[in-house]
Amino acid sequence: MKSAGNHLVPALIAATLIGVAGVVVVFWIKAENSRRAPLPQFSHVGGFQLIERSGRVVSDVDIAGKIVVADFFFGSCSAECLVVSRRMSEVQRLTSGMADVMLVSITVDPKSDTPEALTRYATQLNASTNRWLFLTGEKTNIYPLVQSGFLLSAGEPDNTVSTGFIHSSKIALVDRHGMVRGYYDGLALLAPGWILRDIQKLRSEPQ
Amino acid sequence: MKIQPSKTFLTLAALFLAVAAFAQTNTNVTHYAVKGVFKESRADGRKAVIKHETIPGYMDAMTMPFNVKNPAELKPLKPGDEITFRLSVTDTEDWIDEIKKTGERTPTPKPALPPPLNITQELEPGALMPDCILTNQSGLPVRTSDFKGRALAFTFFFTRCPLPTYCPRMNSNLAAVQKALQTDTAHTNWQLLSISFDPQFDTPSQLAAQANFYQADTNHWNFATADPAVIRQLSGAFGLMFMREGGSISHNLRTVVVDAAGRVQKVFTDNEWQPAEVVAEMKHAMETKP
Repeated sequence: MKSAGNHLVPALIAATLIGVAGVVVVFWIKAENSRRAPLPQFSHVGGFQLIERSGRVVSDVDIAGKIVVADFFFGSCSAECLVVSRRMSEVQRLTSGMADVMLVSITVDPKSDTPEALTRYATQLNASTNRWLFLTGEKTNIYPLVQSGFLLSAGEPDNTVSTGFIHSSKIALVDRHGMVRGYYDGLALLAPGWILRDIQKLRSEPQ
Repeated sequence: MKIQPSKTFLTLAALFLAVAAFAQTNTNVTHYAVKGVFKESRADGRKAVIKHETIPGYMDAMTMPFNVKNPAELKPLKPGDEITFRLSVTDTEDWIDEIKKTGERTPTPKPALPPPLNITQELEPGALMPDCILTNQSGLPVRTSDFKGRALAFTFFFTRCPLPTYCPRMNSNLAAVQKALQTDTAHTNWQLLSISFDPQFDTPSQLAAQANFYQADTNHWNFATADPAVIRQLSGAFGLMFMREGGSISHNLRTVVVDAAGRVQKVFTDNEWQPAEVVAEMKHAMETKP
């Protein structure tokens, strides 16, 4: 009896250790697989023509060949919206020196967000004038672009609130060919890190 | 004895140069993403004349022929097509590939994007104020078309708004407008309206408390809310955006002046407007004849 008890304890410890090791290996393999897996292809952003904070007309041709991190905001928002812009600002910092990476913030309240208002907003965020574009235009140009280019066709829930505006705290990652390759929760503290990881994936893809 | 070291040196130097040359030809490819307009194909598609934009760090904008890596890429192109392509440059060669058509330079404008399904166009000055019915701080109906003949200024808010520079500033500005307009006893055809977009919480008693707090003269200044459908109609018409987020409501700002003929005269889209500006707009709006 005594000797049986003596064997039971080490056996249980050994079994537990093997179990833990197994779990660790499974998670490691999963993490490794997701690290290596290519990013999914969501939707093509398509053509657009909007106005940048400097007043210059910007179209899809201006961002062709670049990796683009995009979000949708309104400058006069009272609360959470600024959080997403701060995440974008962090992405700008993490990608400083990467001339092939651009940031694009598109207003969903173009009436308030005139080029002058965009300039004030961008200055608050220390946005680089050539790497981070703030875009405004006509609602009839912006909304279809956001809905069908960036969000809807990707199977993202359409966040068009019934009052007829788009609200999304998502950040989208677009590859050099204008294809959306990732979505990130713009309110999440870790979002800039995830975005940087996937930018590096895109940069290592054969061009 | 004297020759030996220099021989070793030469061998090493030759080896070094060979390695360097090898590295040069094999790894030193620079890529540039370039935009331009396709002009014509030459040499059976092995050359393409392109009017290209500035290639930062390489050359200025000009029209010139490029070597085409894969002539098949030129097949679908027509002169005048806007394209993007990749220019690759080594020390000895240059070529282009990944040629993509992005548009056409033709006199006909591009067809506009299809209008979105449920985007309400914001009303511009001159448009008629939508007719709708709200409920005021006494629980009584208030109809916007009843304000015809009077100048009307309204803003949007909700009573639980926590940010001093948002809703409270809008209402304290209106309080200043009220004070200024009260002094002009010759012109009394004016009306102020604070519209809550939180009808679930902002019952008439909540609204009455707000009216009291801002010392509203309820003959001239009502605090009101309405059914969600009416709120949607008004917010769509004026571009007000709000959404429940984290227990509160995130929103933007709209303050509107409607003239005595019931037409939109001015829309303020921020919190920078001064009471004096609205007072001036109201004086003008009172003069408008239906």
